[in-house]
Amino acid sequence: MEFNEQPLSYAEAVAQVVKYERMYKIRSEDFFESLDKGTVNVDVHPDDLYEWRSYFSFKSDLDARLAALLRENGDAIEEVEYSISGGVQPRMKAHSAAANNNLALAA
Amino acid sequence: MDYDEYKNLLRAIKKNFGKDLGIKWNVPSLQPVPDVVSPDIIGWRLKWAGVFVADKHYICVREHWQGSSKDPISRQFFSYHYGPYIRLEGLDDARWKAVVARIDSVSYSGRGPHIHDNDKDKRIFQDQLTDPDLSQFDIPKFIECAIKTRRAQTVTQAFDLRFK
Repeated sequence: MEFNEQPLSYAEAVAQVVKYERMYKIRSEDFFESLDKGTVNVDVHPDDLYEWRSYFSFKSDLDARLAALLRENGDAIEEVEYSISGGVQPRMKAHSAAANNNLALAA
Repeated sequence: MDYDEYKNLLRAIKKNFGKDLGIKWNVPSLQPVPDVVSPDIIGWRLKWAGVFVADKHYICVREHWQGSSKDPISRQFFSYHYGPYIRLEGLDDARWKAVVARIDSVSYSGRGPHIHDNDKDKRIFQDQLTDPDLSQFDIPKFIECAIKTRRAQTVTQAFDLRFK
């Protein structure tokens, strides 16, 4: 049986999350929190909702794994800029060779 | 379940729910997700459509499998869709416009998963049902129920929905 296998990169997960945030004009964190609380007032197509949640879940997990590694290495993320109105890529600044290497891996 | 076991599961589904039922399956789209800090994968995504060419209906299943640093990879959420299609191309990625039955594991306001009954806006939530447990549906079980709707059963009958 044939499979169409294409790994999902961190960069693609981020790009997809940004796409849905721009489409529905709301940050992922705010949207999913309001969905849980029952206060959501954005009508999201069920297919978009599924895809958005899936990409956001993987992105969040990868962010957490990267942050944990940086903490274990004694490094710290100094600043995180993440904007739905900005560029497609999140901009992360870290100051150490190890951190930069890890970020390069993530991209 | 690991990635190879999952692929074997899909092979079994294609074998057991295929031509005999009139379903022609597309090539499954699988997206393994590599970890950024290790050589492992942390999960995968599935999109897979199968068509009943005879009457222009299709099934589209999507599953999201993910693990964590503490827990092994397991299915976290899913959507199983059955309904008519207009264009055959791109069914795996298409946004659906019409539906016969669809189970979404997404929970609105903590009401649990829901099932659509012939309408995008007609959702029956888990908290309205005593049975079945929608979160326990898997691809084979959904296909079996979808087949029942093709045999003139209503969604309530086919999925054996028991209302509170």
